[in-house]
Amino acid sequence: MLKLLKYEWKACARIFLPLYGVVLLMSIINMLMTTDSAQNFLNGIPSAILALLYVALLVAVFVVTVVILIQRFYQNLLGDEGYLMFTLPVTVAQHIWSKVIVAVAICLLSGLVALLSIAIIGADTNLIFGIGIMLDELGKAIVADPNGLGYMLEGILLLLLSLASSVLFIYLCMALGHLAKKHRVLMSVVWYFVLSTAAQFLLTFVLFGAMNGPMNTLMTALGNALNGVPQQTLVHGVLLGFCVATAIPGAICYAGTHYILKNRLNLE
Amino acid sequence: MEHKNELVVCTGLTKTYGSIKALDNLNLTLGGGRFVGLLGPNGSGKTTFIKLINGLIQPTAGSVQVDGQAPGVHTHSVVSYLPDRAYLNDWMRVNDLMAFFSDFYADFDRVKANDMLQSLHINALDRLKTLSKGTKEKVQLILTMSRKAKLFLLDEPIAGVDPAARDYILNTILSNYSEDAAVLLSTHLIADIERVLDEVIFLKNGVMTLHESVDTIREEHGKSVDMLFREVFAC
Amino acid sequence: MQWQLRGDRPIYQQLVEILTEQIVSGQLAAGDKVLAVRELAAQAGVNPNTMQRALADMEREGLMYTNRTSGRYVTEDKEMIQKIREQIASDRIAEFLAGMSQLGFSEQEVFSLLEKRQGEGNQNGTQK
Repeated sequence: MLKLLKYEWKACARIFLPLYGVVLLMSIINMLMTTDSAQNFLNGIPSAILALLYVALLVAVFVVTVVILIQRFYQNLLGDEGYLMFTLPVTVAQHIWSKVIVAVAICLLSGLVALLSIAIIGADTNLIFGIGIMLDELGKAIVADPNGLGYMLEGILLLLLSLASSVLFIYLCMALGHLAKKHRVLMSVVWYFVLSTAAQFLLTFVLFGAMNGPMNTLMTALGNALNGVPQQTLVHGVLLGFCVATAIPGAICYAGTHYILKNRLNLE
Repeated sequence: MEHKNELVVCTGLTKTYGSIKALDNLNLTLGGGRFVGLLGPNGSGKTTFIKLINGLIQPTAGSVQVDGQAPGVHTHSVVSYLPDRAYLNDWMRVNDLMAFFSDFYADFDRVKANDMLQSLHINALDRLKTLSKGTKEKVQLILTMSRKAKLFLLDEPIAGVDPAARDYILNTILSNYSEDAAVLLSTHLIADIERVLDEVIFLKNGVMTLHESVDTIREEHGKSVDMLFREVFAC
Repeated sequence: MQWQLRGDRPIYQQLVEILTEQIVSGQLAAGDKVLAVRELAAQAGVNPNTMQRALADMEREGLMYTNRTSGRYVTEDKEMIQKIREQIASDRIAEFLAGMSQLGFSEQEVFSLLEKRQGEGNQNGTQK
């Protein structure tokens, strides 16, 4: 498992680390270009172009993240490389987990790099001080109210779970597409739209149901029951509830992907 | 010669693609220590059979067991498989691949692999991308043969390499496979390998038409397996 | 160098013939140790199982024997080797004469051809 993670990480890092490097470099250059003398140079055209390039690059980071996430799964497991991967003495579960973990890590990193690069561009001493003060305040708040730390951890958990769930959702679509005899890529896309539409529909249905009908009375009852509960506990409950709500579809997607790869694998 | 153990057991193994029967009701037992040739023209089900043993495709009916178990983690750890296609990441160096193999397969012998690379004049620091097709195949074969597996499944291992390397490769296979390991090698270049085989399997349109030892065929038919093959599969 | 094998007969039989020839020609002398099956098979370019079968045949014929502790040896029975050598020679001569008679040479004519050849100093030696 650790070895799988190691190679998955290597395969991704080889593409992403240089990309991140370029992004950060670009943001430093852009930051330097915001000085007055640079703005006035050639009517500011070079700096405008650079800014444009930078935005394009940021968009590219996210596109590439998604593309690589898909490609790593499709090529590595369902393409020719699957001949190697699926003959390793490794379980299907380990394959999926190693892919999900690295994919989530890459998504987080892409987000962090984007934030960092924006911070660099906007950086002046005030901002850095601002961040410092903010962190300081945050630390104080956590010390003051132990629930704050809990909120934060729950928030992070929620973020991780929702990332993992969306990654697994995409995997499931590819695995389902793989079941088709022909046009497997096309079928994956079709499955993606079918499933996401279905999920949307289900969600609206549940929400709609919550507004009126039996759900309504249920919710009111729930509200009444929770009336006496302290606010902090309520927030914890809501956050954890969201976590569970995200984890459930993730688990379903995982189970589906696992079943298909284990019992319905048919490499061309 | 005795069958030391039943390494591969197929019962009623069938695989269909749509209306085409790629493999039809195959019943077969392969013992350890044997060098078996899987022979048949293109599209006769050779690759399908090998992929089924590896669990890369699932049978439509029937079952296959390797070392007493259905294809899975255990069978993968005792089977060394050479696919009929390039299946390695192009961007890796030969060295990285060796590290990869020794990470995942406990029976991978790095010293042996290095020896073979040297004899075939392949630089371990080269990236796969820069190697010729034939050299890539050699690398794949070296990686496959450097394991101490119980069963070697070689799908068309010699088709793409030059005759000189072919001899070397056959000799390596011969001298490498250990006493109780079996080799199943699919090919249509029979003349080149006939002398190293114990037994052969003929596949015709997914049906096994013959499973016999090479010398028995020669005794019974008074001709080489190659000639018999040409007769059986004459167009 | 791989051994020359033909397609029409079982491989192990041909291995037996080649090994026998090696013994009667003295390449493998009486009492010599025989290579391990694997090495011999690699040398011949054949499957070890087939070589094993050929060697078992050699033992059955008495041309080789196995010492439990130290391996396989060529027989020390020089008389037997000589007998087989003569046997092979007479087989070859019969084969040769049969071939010549197919070309229309009588045995008498063959003899005179051989004598003439010897008179010329036998330039080509006894290469085989």
